Amino acid sequence: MELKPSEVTAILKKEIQGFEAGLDQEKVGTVLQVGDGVARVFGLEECKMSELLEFPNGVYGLVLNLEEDNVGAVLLGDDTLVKEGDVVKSTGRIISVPTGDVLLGRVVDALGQAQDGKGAIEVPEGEYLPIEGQAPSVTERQPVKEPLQTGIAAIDSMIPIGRGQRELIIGDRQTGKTAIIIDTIINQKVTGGGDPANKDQVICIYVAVGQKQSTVKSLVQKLEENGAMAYTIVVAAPASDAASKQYLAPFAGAAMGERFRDAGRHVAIFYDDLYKQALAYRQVMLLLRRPPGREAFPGDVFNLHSRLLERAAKLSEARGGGSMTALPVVETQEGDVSAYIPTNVISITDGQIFLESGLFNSGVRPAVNVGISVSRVGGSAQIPAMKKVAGSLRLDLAQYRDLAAFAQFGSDLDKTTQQQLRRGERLVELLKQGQYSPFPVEEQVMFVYAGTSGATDAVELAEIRRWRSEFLDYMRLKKPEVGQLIREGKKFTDEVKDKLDNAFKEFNAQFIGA
Amino acid sequence: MASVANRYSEALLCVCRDEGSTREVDADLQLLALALEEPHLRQFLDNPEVPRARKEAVLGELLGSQGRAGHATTSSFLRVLFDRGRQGMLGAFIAAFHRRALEERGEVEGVLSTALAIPEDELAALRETLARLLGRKVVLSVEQDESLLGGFRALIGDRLFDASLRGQLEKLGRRLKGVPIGGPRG
Repeated sequence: MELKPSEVTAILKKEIQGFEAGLDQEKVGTVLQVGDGVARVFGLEECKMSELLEFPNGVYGLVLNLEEDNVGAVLLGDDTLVKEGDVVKSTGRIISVPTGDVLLGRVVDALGQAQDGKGAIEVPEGEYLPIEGQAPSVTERQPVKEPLQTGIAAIDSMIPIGRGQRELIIGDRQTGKTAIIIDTIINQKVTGGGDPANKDQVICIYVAVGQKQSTVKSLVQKLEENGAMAYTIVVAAPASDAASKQYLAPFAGAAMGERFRDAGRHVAIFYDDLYKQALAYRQVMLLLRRPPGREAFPGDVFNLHSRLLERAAKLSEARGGGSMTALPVVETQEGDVSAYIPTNVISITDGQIFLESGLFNSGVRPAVNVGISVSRVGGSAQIPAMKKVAGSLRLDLAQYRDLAAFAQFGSDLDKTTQQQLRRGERLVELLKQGQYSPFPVEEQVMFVYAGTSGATDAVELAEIRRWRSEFLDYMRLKKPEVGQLIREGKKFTDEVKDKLDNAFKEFNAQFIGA
Repeated sequence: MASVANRYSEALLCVCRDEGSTREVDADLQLLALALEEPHLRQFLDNPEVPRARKEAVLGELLGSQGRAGHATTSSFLRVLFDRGRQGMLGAFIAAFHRRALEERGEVEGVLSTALAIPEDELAALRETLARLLGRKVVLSVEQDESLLGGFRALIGDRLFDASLRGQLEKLGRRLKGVPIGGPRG
């Protein structure tokens, strides 16, 4: 930014002329103790909870403890710049972040300050929102009814997510949790052509908590390559940030999402991950000497997550009908879902997508364990066509898993069993999907129907994925009207069914015959 | 710790209120506070090898110095402290009591820093203005601080009244740097 000397002079002149006005009245306190990112301050008698305090050297603090004769605050900057006896000013402001369209395509920190070197984020006063927003009340909501398509067949068919839902993504490290998020963000391009000005475009907010800077960088790069950054905000509180910022980042992201939600837009927000946020919160609270509870987490760690996730909602038509869908991530240790934080978040959310390292390593990717993954409200949001074809999918797969475990012991199997095994293997194969290649919902309907109707039973197992990609190419080129019919009609009518059955016959004649 | 000091000082204030001796006891304790700034005296009081009688005698002598006698309530208060083994917290008790005594009198203490020596009539006017703003009588101790560059700065309780040139320049600096974290003042 170029600064003209005359501008500075002009501002200085105005300031100096206005000097007469100045008797500033401020509430102040003194630092009693500082260290480990927290400070205790004496004075500040009328200070409020969550108020922002101004320390010397441009360091800010957030009030978290109000005690009889002192105030406990976490520092949102370098604690080495603050020393004992320093004067602390209260600002009278509750911690807020900038919100609005200017943030789209940007990478910001937990306080909404630019982190991508693309210039400062400047918004008018009215567009700052407090990060601890109030969740919509019962009367302001309506049931979830529209789908949020992830583009991942295994999820959209069996664990459908609706707009306004909270769906947990849970699994060990290295099971593809973030991959699901990236694919979902990329797939949102179909909702509005990737143009954030389009009212139908789903806005994505990715909140990275306690991750490596390099991971965040490569994620942003991936989104840029796929043209998904235009409608995405990345809120980054990497591992190098203060614990206070890591704990605040999800709330900051939620405040940014609420602005769009309340304007009638659709938002998908991803918290990656809440386990690390809980760790940061635990650190801050222990340093502030709040009593530790189970696993040394403070007593309000459940409320920390529930008040965050309650802000996801489908708003009523009177409130503009906007939505905010939350997809929090929780990392488990050694598949232990019964640990404290995983059970908390499982009980708060409307279902979970469970990823397993065993499946991941045996080549089932996305490594979704469909047996224990559920979506409690998404079913009503699924398009009717998908609902119809996927109805028997979950059952078929469950039967297949039982039989497969059983069939390992014996070789003599009756015909029906063999048939069921054959079908199951092919279904599993059909649901495998590469990264960064989401499928539109009409194509998912086509190949899921192929699997459940038995059209792929004759195809060799190793050939299934080639069959799928060639079949979809064939449908796109030769019979685009079928896809259009599903996309627009959203129903699986007899007409669609007949057309697909015929297409399977024609295509298989070519494919198997060749 | 603070709550212990609060309880003792509250009790002492109740006694003083009944007797109407708040001002005298406060003056006694302020004298002790001044003496306690001397580290040797603090060491002497904290030393467990010194018998209690000697400590009491020394404090009694201190109160009786400067041609005046200490108030009886002050002496009994000190005896209570020794009985309870709380003599180490004397400083905290005095500060807590002083704050309450001031509040009772409708006064408030503060520090006024000025860049240049302030004439008596201006000081009186300033005192009056501050008293009007705070709704209490203001007892100001004046000190000179050249780093303020011009104007004055008054710290009264936890309120800072800043009309110094340095404060204005700092504010200007912040404004030029852009919008502060957390948005503009709401």
